[in-house]
Amino acid sequence: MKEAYRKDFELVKKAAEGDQFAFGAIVRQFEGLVAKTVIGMLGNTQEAEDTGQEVFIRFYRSMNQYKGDSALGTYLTRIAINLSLNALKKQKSHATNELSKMEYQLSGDDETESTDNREIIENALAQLEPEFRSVVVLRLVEGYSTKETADLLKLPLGTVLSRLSRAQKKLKSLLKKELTH
Amino acid sequence: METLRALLIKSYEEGGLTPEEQHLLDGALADHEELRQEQTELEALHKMLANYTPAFKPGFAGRVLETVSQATASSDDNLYFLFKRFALTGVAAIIALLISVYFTDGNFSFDALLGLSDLSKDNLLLALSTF
Repeated sequence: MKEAYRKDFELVKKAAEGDQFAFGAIVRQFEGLVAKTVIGMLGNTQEAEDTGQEVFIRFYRSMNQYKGDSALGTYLTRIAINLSLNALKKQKSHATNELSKMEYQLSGDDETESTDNREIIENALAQLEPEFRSVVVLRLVEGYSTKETADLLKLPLGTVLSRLSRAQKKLKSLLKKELTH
Repeated sequence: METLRALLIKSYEEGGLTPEEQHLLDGALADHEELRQEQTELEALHKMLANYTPAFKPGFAGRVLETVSQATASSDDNLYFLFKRFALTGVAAIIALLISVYFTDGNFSFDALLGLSDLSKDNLLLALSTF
């Protein structure tokens, strides 16, 4: 175990021993990180919320498997990206997803400029195929390096670079108005 | 131009460009307004995505903890339910055996429980010597 991750390991160990406050602290600390991944991948939908919950539930059930070999945030991101990709595979129709998004957003989201910007980004990300979306979310939204992104997705570095290049070209085209504002 | 665009994108990734590639890109950026515009847009895209901070609806942590708590309680209930079923099955089997012994031998003696009540000592010795 790397010293840098000892603090994470100790917190997880406490949670695994039944300390509900420790587990709650983990959820609160990494809620934003998981949100970036699942909402980036699935949009601001009820499915994203459900997937976000599932990330922490899966983690809760497998806490003993965390050995402190990586940062806890990275460990959770790995679960989040895999569950998100699985969810995308299961999505039956675009129409279903749009309805889910509308219902989720109408249930209490406030109307602010930042919300509009988030929607614009989410709509643009939704135009990317899952394999391109995942590299953009990990590399450019979460800020992982290209190598870390390749490790998380279990892809060769060259594939990540290639997908990143194509995805950025498409995003620049989709967001041209916002980028040149 | 496509090669230069690819170099531009690559310049933002770790490892970056070789000195020759960097020199080529620098020269191209100086000469081409279109490429400088692309660089501006690329940096704006990176900034936009880096500043993207979506969030779950308020109370997410509480909902997670509640779900985990319910799943744990449900799991405990399932174990108790399974234990009860096995325990009751075992007790029923023992009661059925005792009833059978009583109807066969009319009592609950140790010999009756072991099925030895009708066995004489001579027969027992004969049975043992056969083995």
